[in-house]
Amino acid sequence: MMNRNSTVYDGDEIVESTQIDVTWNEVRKTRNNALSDSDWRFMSDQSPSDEWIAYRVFLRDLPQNYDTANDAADAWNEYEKPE
Amino acid sequence: MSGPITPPLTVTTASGTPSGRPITTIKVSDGDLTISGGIATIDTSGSGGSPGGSDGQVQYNNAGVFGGDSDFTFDGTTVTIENPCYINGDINSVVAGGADFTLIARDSTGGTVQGTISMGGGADEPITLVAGEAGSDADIVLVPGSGAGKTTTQSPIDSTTTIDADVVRIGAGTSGNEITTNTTEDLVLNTNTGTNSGSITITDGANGDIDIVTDGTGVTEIQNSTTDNDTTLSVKGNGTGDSIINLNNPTKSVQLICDENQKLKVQGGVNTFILDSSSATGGITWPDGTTQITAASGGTPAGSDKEVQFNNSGSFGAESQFIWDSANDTLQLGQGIGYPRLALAGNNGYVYFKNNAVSPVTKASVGVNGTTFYIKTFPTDTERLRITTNGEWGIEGANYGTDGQVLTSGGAGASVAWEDAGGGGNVFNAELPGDTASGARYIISQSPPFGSADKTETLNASVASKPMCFPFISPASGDVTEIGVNFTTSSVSGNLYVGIYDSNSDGMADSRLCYATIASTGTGNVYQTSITGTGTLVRGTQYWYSINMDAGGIAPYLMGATTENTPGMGMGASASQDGVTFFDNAATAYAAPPASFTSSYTYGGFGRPICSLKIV
Repeated sequence: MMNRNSTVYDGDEIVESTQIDVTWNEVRKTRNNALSDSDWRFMSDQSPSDEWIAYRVFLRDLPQNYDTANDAADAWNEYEKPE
Repeated sequence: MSGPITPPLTVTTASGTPSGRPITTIKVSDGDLTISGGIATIDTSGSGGSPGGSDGQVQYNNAGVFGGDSDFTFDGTTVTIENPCYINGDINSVVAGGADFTLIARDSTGGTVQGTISMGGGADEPITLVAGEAGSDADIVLVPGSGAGKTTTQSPIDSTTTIDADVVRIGAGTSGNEITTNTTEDLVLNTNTGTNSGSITITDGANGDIDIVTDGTGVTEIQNSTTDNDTTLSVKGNGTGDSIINLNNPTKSVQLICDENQKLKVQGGVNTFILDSSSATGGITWPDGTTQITAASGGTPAGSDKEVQFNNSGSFGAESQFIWDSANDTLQLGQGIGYPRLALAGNNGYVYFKNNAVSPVTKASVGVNGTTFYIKTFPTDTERLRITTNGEWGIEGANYGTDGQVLTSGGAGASVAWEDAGGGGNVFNAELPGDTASGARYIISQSPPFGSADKTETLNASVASKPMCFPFISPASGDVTEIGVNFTTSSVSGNLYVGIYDSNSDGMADSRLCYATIASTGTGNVYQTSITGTGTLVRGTQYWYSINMDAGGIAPYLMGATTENTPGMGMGASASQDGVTFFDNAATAYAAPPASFTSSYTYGGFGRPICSLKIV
């Protein structure tokens, strides 16, 4: 998951709310970490759920499905990670 | 009748009628003749007897006969009395032509005059008292009475005695003539009692001095006894000639001279100051001959207000960089770039500080000795530090330590000392460039040597009920103005506290410097610019940052490093323990970071959360 939100508070008041830019390199690196973290679910002695299968497909296809790294990050952020 | 009268007895004349007043008896008894009856005329011519004594001796009744004495004579011109003479009445001298009446004392009859009292016989003539023979040192002494009725204030010339003479002259010889008071009493010359405009004049003879001589610490004083009246000392000349007041001792003198041209001169040796009061344009003439007519001719200060004056090629000069601030008693050098400048010339120049508020006065200084710069401190100007031209640092003298030694604090009350370096080793203190675009934002969770670039972990902040600490080396010096974290998952409410602590002597978290309260209700990077307390950091110094929640029952997640990628604390119950943080187990749960960390350290397995600081 990549959250591009950037919020600056002054006490309880939000004085700045923006979204940071990310690069494809950052997206790929983060995605690879997320895939590695879930590799264990796909070991031969595991039975991954369909949600996890779909989720990993979504992660792998991020570069070709989105025009920009920011779009990919935002889509990932909206995607509900399986339990 | 005892017998007959023996002839010759002749009655030559009988006239009138004796019968009414008859002579009844004529008796001679033992040579005494007694006639009784009427008035009888007895002719004794030729029968008066002889004078007593010798020629020239004045006669007196000496037991019924003429007597004379050599002590009481008259030679036809002079009456001479050789013994004391008692006169119960006035002596009146009526001398033809108004000549003097003189009483003369001589050492013998007709001998040398030993003293005279002379009273003039004419109008306005003086009474003259002359003591002793000519050329003697004899005094004239007036001796008062000593009876019980005499008051102690009386003297031969007492308060009731009036001397009406216009002139009282003291002495006629060459020796000092004095009026001396008794014991310690003052001598007062008073023109009169009560209101009187008379003056007291002391007049010298030809070319004589009038000296007023004081003794010891005594002063010569002119005093006006009337309140609020001017007091005037007048040195008055007569005709032409200067009026001079001489102020001098045996070797030095200064004269105050009012010359006949109405100029006041102050003259000492060859130097003379002249104040010409004869006119409005007289001016002041200095010893070098220059004359200043008015005060304005002395020049006006150069420059602007408060600027110190100096000689600028013969004229007053001033500089905006050289200011005396009288309001603050401050001498200011310089105002702009390159200033202040203070040049202490000489081989041993120094700046001296004195504390006059204490007794005895304490002092300190900074300066140079040759090429060595030194600092000396209060209270007795004792040298504490010197820096030589080679860059050596001497502690309390030429104590430069030895190669490799470090300066070590002796704690309160002791000076620093050179000591061998121990422990520590090199400390990472590189100042890495912060994110200048966002205002020097440093990600201290990732900075070396404790940081980790891993940010793949999502850390459940709900376990951080008490402050969990993570060490960091400050990458810059300045104050913390923003603290940031990254929430991968938000909570419906609550805040995350992020505190900054310094280290104690053991290097452990100690006193809280500042903290931020960051809402955990959002995701992504969240920064808080409202900082509680002042977090002043020094580059290269180890500090700690802590995290804890302000409430339970909520579970925001923080982006951070896995425990495997977080530097371990080396804490744990066994060798295989993996504590990567510790928390203050004595702290109050869900409270703001405590002001001080207690030593109740408890290790934990919480990964290192991302944390950024703005250090300005």
